[in-house]
Amino acid sequence: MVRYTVILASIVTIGLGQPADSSATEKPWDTPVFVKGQTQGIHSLAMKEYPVYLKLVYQTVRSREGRNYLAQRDAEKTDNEFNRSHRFHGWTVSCAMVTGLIVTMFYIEKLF
Amino acid sequence: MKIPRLFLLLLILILLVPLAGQTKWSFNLGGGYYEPTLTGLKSNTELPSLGFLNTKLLVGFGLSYEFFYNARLGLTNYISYHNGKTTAGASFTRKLTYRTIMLETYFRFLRRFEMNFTLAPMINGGSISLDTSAPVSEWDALLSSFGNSSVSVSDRKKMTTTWLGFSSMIGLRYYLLSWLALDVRAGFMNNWYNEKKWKFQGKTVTGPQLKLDKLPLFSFRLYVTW
Repeated sequence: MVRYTVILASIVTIGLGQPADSSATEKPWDTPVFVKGQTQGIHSLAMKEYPVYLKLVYQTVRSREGRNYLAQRDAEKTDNEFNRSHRFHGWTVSCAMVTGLIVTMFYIEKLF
Repeated sequence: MKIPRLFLLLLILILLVPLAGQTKWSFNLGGGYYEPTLTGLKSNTELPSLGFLNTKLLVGFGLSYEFFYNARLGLTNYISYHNGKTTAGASFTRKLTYRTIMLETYFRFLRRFEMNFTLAPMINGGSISLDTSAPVSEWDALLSSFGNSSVSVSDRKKMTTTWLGFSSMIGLRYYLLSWLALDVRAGFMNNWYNEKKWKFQGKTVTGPQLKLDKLPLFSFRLYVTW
């Protein structure tokens, strides 16, 4: 009995004495899977990465710092979308003008 | 069982945060308002009475994909639904489905505001179904041979039609978050509906008279993009 207790105590001691896992101290939103999912979209994740990603999202949402990070990311995305689409590209302006003209003509005809 | 509010909030956030990764696809859910003249349905005393909800209000959903910098392609529908009991007591259902294949161009004039322009050919459909219940002599003969009395047999039959249309709208979208937006639009739709082209049991029949051409259309939708 004493022998087993000593062995068990040794295992526990050795176990506790291991150097800390670096990934455990890493913030969930800094992990490669989370960054990949956020920057490249969830389509870029492999099937096996989905549960990991969801777990990281859960951990991020739970902390105030994580929520601040998400809000900051959201603002960045909104800015990116604005910079990308604040003016028409190529033929899209023609389509918008045709639509504007058609709708205006319809209401002019309807009202007068 | 009472689910804690915090848990629900966390669950919603967990489900929605992954959506924020990319803004190529968007799903929308909402409704619309239009003013059709449903003459053949309104004047028919056999049918249940029509109200505001089942005449002028539309509900719908859709999906679109951003295939170019400022352009999206998508499928969106609007549904007008009406059901009730006829004067004879049969269960009546009428559905008009306006399906748009939309080409949408847009630009953001402010950080969170977008203006969009939609051109949309339409493939629309209408259906009227009656759920009747009456004794059938063949069934009665069989059932009576086993010692049963007469039993009413339910029977559901539907008449359908399809017609083409065109819609064009100008809209304003406000992004609450990078992946969540509210969208209001004003425009019109034109339908080439013909009441003589309904189908019932493989035969061409005449359906209700409806005036669906040159209709102003307004829509309100919630968009989720990812």
